[in-house]
Amino acid sequence: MLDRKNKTLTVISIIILALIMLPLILVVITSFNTQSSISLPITGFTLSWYSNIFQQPDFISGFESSLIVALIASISALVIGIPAVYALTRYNIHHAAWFQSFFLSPTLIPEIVIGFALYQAAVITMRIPVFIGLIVGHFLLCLPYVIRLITASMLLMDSHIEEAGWICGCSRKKGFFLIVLPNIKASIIAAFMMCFINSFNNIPVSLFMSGPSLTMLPPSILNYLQNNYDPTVSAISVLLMIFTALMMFLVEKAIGIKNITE
Amino acid sequence: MNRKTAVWLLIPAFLGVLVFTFFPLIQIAIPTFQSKSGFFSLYTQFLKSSFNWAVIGRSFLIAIVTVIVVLILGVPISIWIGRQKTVVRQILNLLILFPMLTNAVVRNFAWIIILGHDGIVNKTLLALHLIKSPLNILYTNTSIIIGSVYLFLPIMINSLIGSVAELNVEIEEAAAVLGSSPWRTLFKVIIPQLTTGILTGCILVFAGTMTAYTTPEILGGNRHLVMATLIYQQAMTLGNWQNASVISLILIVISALSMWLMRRLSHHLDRRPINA
Amino acid sequence: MANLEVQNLAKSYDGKTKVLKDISFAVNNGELVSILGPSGCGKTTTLRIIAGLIPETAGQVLVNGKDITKVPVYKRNFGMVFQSYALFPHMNVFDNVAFGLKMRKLDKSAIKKRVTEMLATTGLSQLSKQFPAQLSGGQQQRVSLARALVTNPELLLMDEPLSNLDAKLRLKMREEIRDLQQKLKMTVLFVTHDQQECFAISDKVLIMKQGRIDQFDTPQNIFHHPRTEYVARFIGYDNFITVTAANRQDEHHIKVGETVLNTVEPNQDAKVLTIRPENIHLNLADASENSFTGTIMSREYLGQSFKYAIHSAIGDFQVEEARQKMRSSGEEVTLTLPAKHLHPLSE
Repeated sequence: MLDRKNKTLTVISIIILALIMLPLILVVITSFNTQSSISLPITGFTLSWYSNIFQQPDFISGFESSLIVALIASISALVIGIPAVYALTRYNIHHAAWFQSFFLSPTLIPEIVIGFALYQAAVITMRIPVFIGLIVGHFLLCLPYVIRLITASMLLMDSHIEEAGWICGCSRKKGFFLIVLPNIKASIIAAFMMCFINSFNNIPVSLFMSGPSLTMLPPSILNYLQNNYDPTVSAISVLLMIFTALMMFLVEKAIGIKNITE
Repeated sequence: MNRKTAVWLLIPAFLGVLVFTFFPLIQIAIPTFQSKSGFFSLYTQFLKSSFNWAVIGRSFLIAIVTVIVVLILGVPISIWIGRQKTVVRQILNLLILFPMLTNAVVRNFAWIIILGHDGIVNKTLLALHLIKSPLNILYTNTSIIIGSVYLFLPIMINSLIGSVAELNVEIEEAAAVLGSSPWRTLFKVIIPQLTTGILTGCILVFAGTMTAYTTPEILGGNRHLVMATLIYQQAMTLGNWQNASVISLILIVISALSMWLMRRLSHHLDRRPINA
Repeated sequence: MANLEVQNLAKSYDGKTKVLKDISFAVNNGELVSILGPSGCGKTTTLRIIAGLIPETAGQVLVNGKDITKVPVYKRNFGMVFQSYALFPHMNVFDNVAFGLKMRKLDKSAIKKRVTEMLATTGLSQLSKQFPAQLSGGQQQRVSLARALVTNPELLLMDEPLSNLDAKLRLKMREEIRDLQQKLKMTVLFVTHDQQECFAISDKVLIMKQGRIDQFDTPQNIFHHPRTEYVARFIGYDNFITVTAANRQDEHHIKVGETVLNTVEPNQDAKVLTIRPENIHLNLADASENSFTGTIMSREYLGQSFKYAIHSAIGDFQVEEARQKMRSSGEEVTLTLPAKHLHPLSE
């Protein structure tokens, strides 16, 4: 049987798993190197590259704007996406499947094209400020996650629960807040995490929407990497990994391990 | 019940996607067909250049090889993870999810450390006297492929684990009773049942690699452009927006077409009832 | 509690096929009426229209003579118990039961008093801090009942409330529901596909077939005088003898094949004769009236009795015999169909 006890399968799998984890571990190791170029094995231990991060104004302001944009984009995707999903799953809408695909369609467009097209249309033609354009672009990245995850949990939720609320004297609007939202809480948090992380990490859209006073963190790191080759990039990579782990930990605390991985 | 309410709930999301996805696309599409020398002339002009063909070819090559490698690596580990006890499976899931959620710059940067001129691979090979001078692995198609595999392998695994966990082990036991060896069972019984999951994963990986910007930018350098990096270069470095629009549309058509093709294929290959 | 009247109710989801056609019936104050039928017959649709969960295509629903058809569901003041119980998963038992009272904006102490009373009535006092996921099926059922009753609804609607319970608990819960209904003098409309369950607890039974009412009567009347073959089949009549007008000899005699069958009930318009398997006698000493011979084809052991499939010149019969000595296949027997148990049916 090809089960978890099969030796060949286990060996192959552990090697692949190691290949997945090893590169990230190497990044962590190089971040402490005393040499000013990135190399292995390391010759000594220092934290100076971490302090160098904070000498880079692009990293500090980039982190701030990435954080703000990711927050606004994720929350607006939830606020706009959840009612749409509710309408699609709870009202008898004609062409519900069509609407569903329409809302998911931004995933079909390459991100680099979304960035480029939106930059032309919103920033150049419609003269929308770059910051707003950035949020709109990130909103488009987030919306499909909201639609997909919330739809799945709305379909799983017994619709009779909501009906029981109405029978108890609760109007539809009130029932949405008192009964539906609390019961899809886990998927709202999961959707928020996916939106936030993907927005925070995005490069293609952010690349186009940048201005003299507005750079996002990932493009700043990319830019630094192309001009310098020192362990500062390793150090900020480690901070980003800690940030990711922290997000996962918080979500795990909020909704449990089961809901993140499935 | 009240259809009016439903419409109001749908309108914001509908307008958001319409105004900010479809309107911009139409806006970049229209000028590419308005050339004086003919409807498709910008496209035929673009496709006359052997440089552009090289870029398109490279994009395809990288995407196809990446899909194949990701598939070969992804299937066994997904089966292994999918068959662990619940707790172990969830922990392994998190280990797979972590790189997925880590910034792509970080993940590609890691391979600079490994593949670079003074990287681990070259140092090891030199130390073993297998090579005399460092190999140029970085900034080649190979390094882009390696980076893409690393980027998309977790996505493939993630999309397969679910289908593996749903497999009915009794079917394999039946095959074993009928005299099928474990590896024969893998190819004749398990993988056919995973067709849908595998094809979904392949679509994600192919389209993702085909349109990825970050990996070819970091690991490919200036001389190994793919379509996504070409769009950025044309638009922002050279200011040739018309050309960037032409490539954008070709890229959309290619990725949409490949998804459509794969989906057709998956319907064709998957003989199980849809609602099973 | 109140009385309910349903007039000419009709429903169509797509504008073409009608799932309900001209449903009219009344439930008197303090009565428990069951709607019985197989899945897809429209019984749940009827209940949901009465509840206000789905709009009707035509017809009215009246409570105490007042038309409530256009009153939205949350203003109807009904109670409802769902098949899945539909407890609010994010609230504990107390909050589940208190929900309806909170919606009616009662003050806190009044809510507490009323909920505590209700939990005591339904035997849930110990569980008030538990969450639905921690409860057994029977306990969830009780919470669902308590939640439906706490607001003193005008009408209690129950949609297959017992079908998710195991057989033993089902018997117990149906007695509890009946006791509670009698004690509180509730008006209840109860939907089920289980014939035994509905005959055991109902004052009246409404049997539905393909969106129509086939028979609406007391359980006793339905059991002894099914109106149609459909109803008869549903409540355990296994034997049907098709007759035509030409077979009729007079009001009480019908000739089938070579045998003349005698009925107590008048047989005009009879299209089918029916008899329960346990009412047919085999090899009666005095087999003169309504008797003919047949051959045993197969046998089934039922514990208290044997059930035989018998082939005869006028058709195949299912016969249940309480005798412990079994008969074997191929044996020739005389069947006697007592006239008082042989019912002529017009449909």
